[in-house]
Amino acid sequence: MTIKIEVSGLQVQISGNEILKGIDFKLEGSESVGIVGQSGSGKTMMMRSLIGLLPNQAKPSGDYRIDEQSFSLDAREKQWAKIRGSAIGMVMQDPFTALDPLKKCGKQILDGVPKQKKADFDIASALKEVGLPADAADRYPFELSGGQRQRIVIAASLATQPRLLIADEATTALDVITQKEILDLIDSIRSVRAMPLIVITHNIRLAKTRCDRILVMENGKIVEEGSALKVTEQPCSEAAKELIEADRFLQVKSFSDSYSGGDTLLRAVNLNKRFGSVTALTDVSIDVCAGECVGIVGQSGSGKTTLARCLVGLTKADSGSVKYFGGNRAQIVFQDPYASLNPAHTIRYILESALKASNRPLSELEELISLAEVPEELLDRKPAKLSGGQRQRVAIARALAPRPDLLICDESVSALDVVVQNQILNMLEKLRRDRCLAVLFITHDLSVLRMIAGRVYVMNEGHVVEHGTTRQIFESAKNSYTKTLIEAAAFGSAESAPGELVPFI
Amino acid sequence: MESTTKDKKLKFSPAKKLELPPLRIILSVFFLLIIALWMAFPSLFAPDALSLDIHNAKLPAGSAGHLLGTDALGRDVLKLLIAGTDSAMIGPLCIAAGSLIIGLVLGSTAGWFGGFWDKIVSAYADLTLSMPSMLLAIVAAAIIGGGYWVSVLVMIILYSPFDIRLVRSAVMQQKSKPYIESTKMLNLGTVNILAKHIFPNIAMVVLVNFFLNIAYGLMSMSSLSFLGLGVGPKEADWGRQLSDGRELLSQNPAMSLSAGIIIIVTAVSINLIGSYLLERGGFDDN
Amino acid sequence: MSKTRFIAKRLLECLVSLVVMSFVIFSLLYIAPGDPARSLVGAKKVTPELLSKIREQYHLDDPFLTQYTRWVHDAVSLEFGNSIKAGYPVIDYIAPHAAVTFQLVGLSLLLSIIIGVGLGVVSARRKGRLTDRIIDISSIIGTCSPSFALGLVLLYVFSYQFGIFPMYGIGEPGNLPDVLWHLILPAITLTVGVSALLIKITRSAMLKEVSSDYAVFMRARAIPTGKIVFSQLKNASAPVLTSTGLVLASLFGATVLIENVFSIPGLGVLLTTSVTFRDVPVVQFIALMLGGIICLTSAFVDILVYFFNPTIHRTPNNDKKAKGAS
Repeated sequence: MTIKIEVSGLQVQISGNEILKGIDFKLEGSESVGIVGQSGSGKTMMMRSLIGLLPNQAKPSGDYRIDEQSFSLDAREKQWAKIRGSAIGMVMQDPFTALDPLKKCGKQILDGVPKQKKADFDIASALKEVGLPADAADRYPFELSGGQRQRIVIAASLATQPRLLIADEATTALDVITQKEILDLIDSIRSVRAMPLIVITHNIRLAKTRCDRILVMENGKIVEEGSALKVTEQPCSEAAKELIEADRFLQVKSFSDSYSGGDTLLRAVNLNKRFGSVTALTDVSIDVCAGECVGIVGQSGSGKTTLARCLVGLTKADSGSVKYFGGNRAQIVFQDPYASLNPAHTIRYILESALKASNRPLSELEELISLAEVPEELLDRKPAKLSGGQRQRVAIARALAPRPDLLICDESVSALDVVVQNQILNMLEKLRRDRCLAVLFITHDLSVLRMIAGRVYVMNEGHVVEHGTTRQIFESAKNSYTKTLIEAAAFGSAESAPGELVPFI
Repeated sequence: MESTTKDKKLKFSPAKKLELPPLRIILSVFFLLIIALWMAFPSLFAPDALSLDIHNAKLPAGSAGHLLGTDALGRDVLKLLIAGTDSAMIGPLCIAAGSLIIGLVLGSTAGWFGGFWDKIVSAYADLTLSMPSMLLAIVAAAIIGGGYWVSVLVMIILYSPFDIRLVRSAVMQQKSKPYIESTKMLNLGTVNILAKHIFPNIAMVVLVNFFLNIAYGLMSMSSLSFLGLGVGPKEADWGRQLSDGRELLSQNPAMSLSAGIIIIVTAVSINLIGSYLLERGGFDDN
Repeated sequence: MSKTRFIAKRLLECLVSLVVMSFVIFSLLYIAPGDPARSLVGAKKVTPELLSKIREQYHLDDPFLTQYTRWVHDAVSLEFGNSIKAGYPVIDYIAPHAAVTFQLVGLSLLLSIIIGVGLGVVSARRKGRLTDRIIDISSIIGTCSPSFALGLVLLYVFSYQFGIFPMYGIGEPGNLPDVLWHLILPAITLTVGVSALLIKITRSAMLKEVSSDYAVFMRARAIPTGKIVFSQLKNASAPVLTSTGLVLASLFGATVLIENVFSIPGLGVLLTTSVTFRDVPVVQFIALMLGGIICLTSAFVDILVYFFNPTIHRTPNNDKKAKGAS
């Protein structure tokens, strides 16, 4: 199965803003191409303009050919019906929302099958191709896990008999382990069908391991293009270098030397928590010592957020004890930067009311913002005018107001761009060193822990399955779950946020 | 300091501040200002609105000295309309304010504390909502016969569940937001959190609902007075005027029509402003 | 929650609100000023002995709760007493009026659903464009026009000025085209407000679906637009359907006024005249019947929606929790 796609001078404007600034792109035969860039670089827009799924206000222009036949980029639905499905198939980013919740999966796959082929379409074999049992056809999407849903999405895309498959951040919303399974599945389908593939991702390591050729995008332009090996080994553009730098598995070779062995600051013993019939925590015990950085890693649903909430008293554990030795209670920084600051107040008000509530003089405001590296000119703005990274810095500054000995960060950087993540992680490391602030870092992202945590607890289904120093965990894990986790994360898959916050411009 | 692409989109756009609201909003505000003036100074705009003049009864619109004609008792219809503003608008204002207060008190405590208190408040709201309100209002107003203020009271009771539900769900939504949880972490105190950190975020929704309640209150109250309930037969009131004017539809249609149109235009103006505020004023950044 | 438990719970809610409503209505009539025995005899001059005899006959001297339970007991055995004004059983007295009102309400319900849901879908799909704004503003005007005021304006313009529609009444009984002809203008008046309400509900429910990922994914697979809209409508249907109670309540409320504007001898007119005449059994029966219809229908629709939605009563996959639930 082959296809020849050529676009030249592709431009997209949305209400006067140039989103894509003249892109030339060619794909031939059955190669796999990775389009890599930070969020906002225009990679999703570019892919969507090939299949006519740009937002309503977008105005595309340029020359577009499929197999030497010319198409308009600014056409109505009718023309696109010829391209969508039969020529180009797409795998959506988020399997949790890509399927009609009220329709059985088999029916949804069948919906996209071209009319003349409907009679002899075999759903069971379509499901087998994506590694699902035949009875999945009779299930509703909500009865399946994220990975299974993404398999249904892939099956539905393939059912339209496309000659090219586009995967747009197709694994970003999934667990590390499931990510690897889905990527392997796409690889095997590609080789069985000898089908070309476009992978859109912000993760250059993923593109390196899965693609023949890589295009790097920045600000609506292609800034670098070449074989996967060449782009990753000898990058020329700043954008490519930044993406590689951002990848901690490619960069960080050493482990954090986070100091450990101070006095015990926090001791939680045998915490249990159930929500109705769901068990969130089973006999979880952890210790945090003064001035160290401890990591807790686990997939979504492992109970790590519940643990954090129990530690600070936002959720009451059913049994077990949480004990703080020494002065202040811990403070917490949450995941979503867009919800962590009150939109009604200015940054100054937020920080000052935190100081007042903790009986500190308002004069400490300056110190707070310099600790959290919040630029002074932001003080009189409201959160809406701040970027995600800036908001998290303010949230950290607020948490520091009562002078806690321990800061709990619950996925606090996972919604941010990797470059910004690194800046904030460095800042936390500095706080730990300079102010002897203990940090409990909760994340699903192993590479973050490798960078800052001295000790790690691994959680799965409400249990702590293993704990030890970061080096022990990474180099000589004993628990089989830990091993799978590390293997999946280290192997070229993405370990990014569950859902980028700005997937679209 | 963070040179990501995200930051570039977050610049101030000073042009936005100078933008005028659309024409329909300007007209609505202007119209409501007139209504407010009529309400504040009825005797200035319509002196002796209720004085009878049997010799000049049932004059059609456009008669000399009577722009909208006269009614069956010879009263000037335009003056009646202006004098009727008070009776038409004060009730709805009280209804909106009353149900707002009930909504804020019951709704925010139920949403914040949850538990048994929330169950009681929600049950009350659900129950009242499941009643056919207009029918009950008619029956109640007619049977008790206490007139205007009884109707207002009945309406407050029937309107309050909407406010309770609105405030309750808004508070519950806010309660689980990380920025509110972090105020809990700082031990800010319930009243402080509710007043300073939650209320600013729900104020706009509540305000808009207050506006809408005035509009719906106007409709409900004038419906009752149209049926002859709530206001006395000789008093100036829009609903009453519309009802009385039906007898004169052949001699002076302006009597009914002007009352009908002014009710519609007032309600629409309030509603337009309300939905405009909702569209523009939300603090939510996403 | 199991299916039977849901049904039982929903019907129980319905029963509770009916009981409360009957209690409210009954107590209102009880505390109302004036002597019901007096209104029973009308303007005739009567001796105090006769009055107390009447009181005894109608149990008017019994304590409130006794009266209430007796009345509930009678109502459960479908015994609603006689109309004070007409002197014969309430049900027979009301039946012809009810027929008129149900025709009127049925007609405008049908129109409202077609117009309201249709325009709501169109408006959501064209969000932000001119069509959407026109529909949005008309629905604001629709919800803000009190039915009686709108009815009067329409009556004046179409019947009085242009003479297209008849002025008053319901036409020749039994002659269906004539009856329908008389009902058109009132039905349109009723429809304006209710369809505006439905436009708002449908639009906001559809907006979520229009921008949904699954719709984009369906487009990406070249699935015809009609099919996509159908899927979206199915997903948006729950809030629209569960608004039935609200829709019926506003229809019945408005019909009381409309019937008065157009002089249609339906339940609305009967209710208002009975209220002024203090014909207690009739008022009680009408209010309870309409309340009962509203309660039962919305309970029925809720149960229907419950069965219609597989995500409620099929067991979800529990080993992998949904995104963000960590």
